[in-house]
Amino acid sequence: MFKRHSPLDKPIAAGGRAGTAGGSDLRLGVLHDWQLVQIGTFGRSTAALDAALMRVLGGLLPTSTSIVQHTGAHRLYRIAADQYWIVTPDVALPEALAETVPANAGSVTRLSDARVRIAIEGPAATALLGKVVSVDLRARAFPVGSFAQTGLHHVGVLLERLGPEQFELYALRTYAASTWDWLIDAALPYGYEVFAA
Amino acid sequence: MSRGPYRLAIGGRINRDELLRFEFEGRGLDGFRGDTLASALLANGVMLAGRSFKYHRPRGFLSAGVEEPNGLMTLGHGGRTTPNVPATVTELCEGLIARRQNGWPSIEFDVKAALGWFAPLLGAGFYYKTFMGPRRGSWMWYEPFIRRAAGLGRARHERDPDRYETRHAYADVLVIGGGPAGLAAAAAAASGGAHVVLVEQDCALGGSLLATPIASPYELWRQNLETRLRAQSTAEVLLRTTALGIYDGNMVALLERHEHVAPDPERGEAREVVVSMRARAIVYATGAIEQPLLFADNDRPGVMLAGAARTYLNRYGIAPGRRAVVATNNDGAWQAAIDLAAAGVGVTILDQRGAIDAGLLQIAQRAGIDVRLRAQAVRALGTRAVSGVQASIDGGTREERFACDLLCMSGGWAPAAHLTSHTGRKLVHRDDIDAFVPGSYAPGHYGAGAVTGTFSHAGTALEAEDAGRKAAAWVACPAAAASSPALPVPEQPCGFEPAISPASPIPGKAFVDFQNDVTTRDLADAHDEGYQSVEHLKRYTTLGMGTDQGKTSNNNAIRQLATNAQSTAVRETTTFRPPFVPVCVGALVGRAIGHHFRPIRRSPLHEWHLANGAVLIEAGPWLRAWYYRWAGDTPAGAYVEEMRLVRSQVGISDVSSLGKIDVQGPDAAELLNRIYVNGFAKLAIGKARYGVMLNDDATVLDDGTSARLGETRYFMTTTTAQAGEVMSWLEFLLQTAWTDLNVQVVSVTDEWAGMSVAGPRARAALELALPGIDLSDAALPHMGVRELKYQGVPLRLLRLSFSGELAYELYVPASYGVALWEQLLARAAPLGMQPYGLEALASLRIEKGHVAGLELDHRNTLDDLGLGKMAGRDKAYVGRELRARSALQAPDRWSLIGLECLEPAGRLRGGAILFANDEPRVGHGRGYISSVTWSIERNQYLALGLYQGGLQHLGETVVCAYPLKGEAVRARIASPVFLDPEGVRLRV
Repeated sequence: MFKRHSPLDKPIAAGGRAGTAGGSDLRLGVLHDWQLVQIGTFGRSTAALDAALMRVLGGLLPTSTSIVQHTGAHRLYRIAADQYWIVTPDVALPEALAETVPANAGSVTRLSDARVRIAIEGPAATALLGKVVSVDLRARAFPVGSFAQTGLHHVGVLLERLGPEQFELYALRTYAASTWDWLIDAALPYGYEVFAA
Repeated sequence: MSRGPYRLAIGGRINRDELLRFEFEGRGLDGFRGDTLASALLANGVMLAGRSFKYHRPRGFLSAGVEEPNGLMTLGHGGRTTPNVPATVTELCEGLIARRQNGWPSIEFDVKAALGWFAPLLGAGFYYKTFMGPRRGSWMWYEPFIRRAAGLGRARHERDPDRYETRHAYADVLVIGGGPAGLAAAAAAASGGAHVVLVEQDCALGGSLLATPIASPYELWRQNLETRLRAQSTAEVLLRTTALGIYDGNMVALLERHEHVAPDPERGEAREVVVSMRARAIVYATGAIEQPLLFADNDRPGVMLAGAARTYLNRYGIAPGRRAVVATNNDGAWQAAIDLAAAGVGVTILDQRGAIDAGLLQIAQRAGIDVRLRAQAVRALGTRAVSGVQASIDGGTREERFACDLLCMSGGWAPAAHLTSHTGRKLVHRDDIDAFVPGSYAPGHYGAGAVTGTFSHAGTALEAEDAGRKAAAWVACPAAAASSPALPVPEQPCGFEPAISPASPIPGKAFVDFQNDVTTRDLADAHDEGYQSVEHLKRYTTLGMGTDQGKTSNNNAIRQLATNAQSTAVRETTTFRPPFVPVCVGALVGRAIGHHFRPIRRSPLHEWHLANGAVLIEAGPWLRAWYYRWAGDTPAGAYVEEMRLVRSQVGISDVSSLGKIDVQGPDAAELLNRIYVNGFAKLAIGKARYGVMLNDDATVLDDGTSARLGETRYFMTTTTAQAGEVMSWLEFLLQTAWTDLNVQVVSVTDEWAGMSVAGPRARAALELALPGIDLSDAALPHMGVRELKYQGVPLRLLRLSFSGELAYELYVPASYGVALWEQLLARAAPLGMQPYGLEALASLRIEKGHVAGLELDHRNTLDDLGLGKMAGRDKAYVGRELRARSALQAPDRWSLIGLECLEPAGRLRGGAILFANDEPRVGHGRGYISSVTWSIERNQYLALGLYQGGLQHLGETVVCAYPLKGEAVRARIASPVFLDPEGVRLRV
């Protein structure tokens, strides 16, 4: 079996840094062992797709374009009118979907290697993100469970809020090192620890 | 504690327990926490703030705020040097370094002050008239000298070590201004739970109330207003934050300053931060700016706005003079006079009005002030500092001189309506205050206090409460019941009479724009010369175009304009534009500097390249392996060795940057058939095809190979350069023109690592490296595709060639890219396989005559590139109709040729201009070289290029001129396919 490499192996190994006050108000990490599949729908009728998804996921696609839908262990995001992301720890899911979804009912594209999942946690998480994304992160505007697609240093990312001070960022793999570099630069005054999970 | 000769023993809002040392032109001086640089200098007796822009006249501090035109300093040293900073808003901090500007050899003894003798020659527009000849372009010769002579500070070339940042912020209600109006409006707006952000450019809240005596009912009111606001849990106050400009969508640019805490860039602390604030509602509480009076020599050091004198007195504990004359047309200046008198300064008031509020008059007289009504300043006396004032008394019936070392003036107040103007709303003139106020507000925007022309405290309180409540209602968080603090007693008197325009001619220079040295005479001259619109006047005289943006000059200029036109009917103002105050470019840029200037895109193999001798090069956003040190230490040597390897053995190259698009759906074949000029509908599963796509204007957009993986699935590849554009183009067409097609396109560029194995031993190398996979010509023919799993990992194998050799492209999920690459290299090592870089990759294709980014420049058509035969005759494709335009089919269009260098010692160069052999080498020639390589096959330089008439000139000799190096090399026009035109090497 081939060994996997992450574009953030080296930055994670470089470790964290103390902030102005000597501590760390942030935890930044890269998350492994998950799968990402993009589903696309065709036309208005989604009956065949729905049936396939019910069999594989045990649920239907979400309607909201801003709230993450949890279906079992899967997290579902509606990223466009006819496009959806499924993030799951289930390694077999991409293939199961590809085999189950009829080709004329929907598209299935594995993107697990196309994105890097970055965790941002801590009391300074909102302040840090305020420097790098143009998203209203106030609790009323972006409550826990929300997600938004936005630009981070000119590159598209998907940002999700998992807790009041807990976020995840899906960054394009080829830009991931650059994205990380931009994040830790913004994190300097707060201090940060790093982790890989 | 009193430090400095002009500092009073008590009073002010400074912290006398915290002494601050600063350096002023090499001298160590003291000030206190709470001082500005200007107040500290005044306390130390530094009345000369600098020299004026054009005439090098001595100038003192005119104001105590953001409107300061004179007291511009250069702060810091080395890379931290910041020129043109108003000392009046520079918060004093320990170790501050400051120096004045625009004097040589010194500010005190400035030889350039002699320019004042030539003042009659230097009037409005003098350089337009003087420096345009004797010939066209002369201005370019004069300009550096004029700019050097004119006076603002100089920026430095050293790198600024400080850190600047940008950030985003949001609010329900943004209140701009922390004076009484802002405080009251913010508290009201927040009372119903709205998230309110109040921004104040000062380091303290209170605005004009900070200029009132600290032991006064006004201070108590200020404290109560602040306490009420601070009690609101949803209110946020940002001090030292200036609203720079307002843009579409209620986006307000704010500038936060952190200089006062000596930020350490090494610890990530920013000196300044530009905030993109988006607010649902905005309350303008920006106050008003006091205006000067116009009289001769009104720029002498010691001539100061009355409000500024009051601020220096009551806020900073400084008596800016021993003997003061206050010239005014309004009640506001009387407050300054009364406070100065209370501090022991002898005061004379010259008020142009004949009738004054009786109570005010009584207070003034009780304070021992010498009051002269129907009196005006005519001329300031003194040269390096004011020593007195010549006044017109009793309505001009007689003149009298008054000795003074401080001349306070107040010509009324101009609402600071700049920000509302940024929203495109016109200002309107109000005759009763002789100033401009916002004519209207954008929806959800409100004004309160002096910015609306309301100068009384009672009126301000009412307006602010109302504005705050309306803003709260606008954001659907209705305000709670009002609980405004009681108003101070007595009410602030607000009597006003428009300033009387000075008699003409004024006996000397009366400055309208202090910063750009524009006088009443300049305005009159401009008017006489036909510059009678305020927009023309501004540009001709430079009035209002300094760093202060005319905050103390616009009103007077407009009044003068009306006087010169002998009409008061037309009162128009110019349009204010952002930024409200100067802002460092560094702050606007933030962290987008150095390697953060733009994001960098890295291949999944990036770290391997770095660790294994690759030299990288920027290719668009990508960092790619340019060449490898195994092949040589210079690109020129290395790429040739790498080419030799591929032509003779086998090499491997990282092609992960190629655009990759997953195309799925019942209509996927139809999409490809429409987007490519050649047919894709009948492409068999397991086969790939080279395709070219056009822009809708029929120029070539891109080329690439698409492989059919299944009945409804395709794997499209694009060039690296056009990957994003092709993806956007497909999405655009599917979402607008072809909504009936059931297709999904997904960029998978990041999903797959790609590598090309090329060379006569390519098959053998892969058979060694990936045992068990049948790579025979039958199993995987040229342009064949296979999807399989290798060691549990998905692997896509495409047999296609960019180099002209037998070649394969391999794609694996990006995380496995390094593992596959290393395995290929390790196991194929016995065959001599080595990596080759971008330079060799791009050179190999030139020998083969493949076009790439340099030829696909959105100017060339399919036919220009010799690809016209690819186009399907019986099918529709994007660009087909426009391709038939006669201009695009003209036989003399520049089209693709090959070039063989005819001179053994000569060198072809990219960008060289092509001329026919026997024609003069002038002008733009008949074409150019787009790509060049040294050919190991032909042992000569070969090139691709575009030439008028293209291959109609096959075999002709051309001259390749490269004027930058003075070269002219002969070459022969040849077929662009220099290598293996039959494609034998591909099919072994």
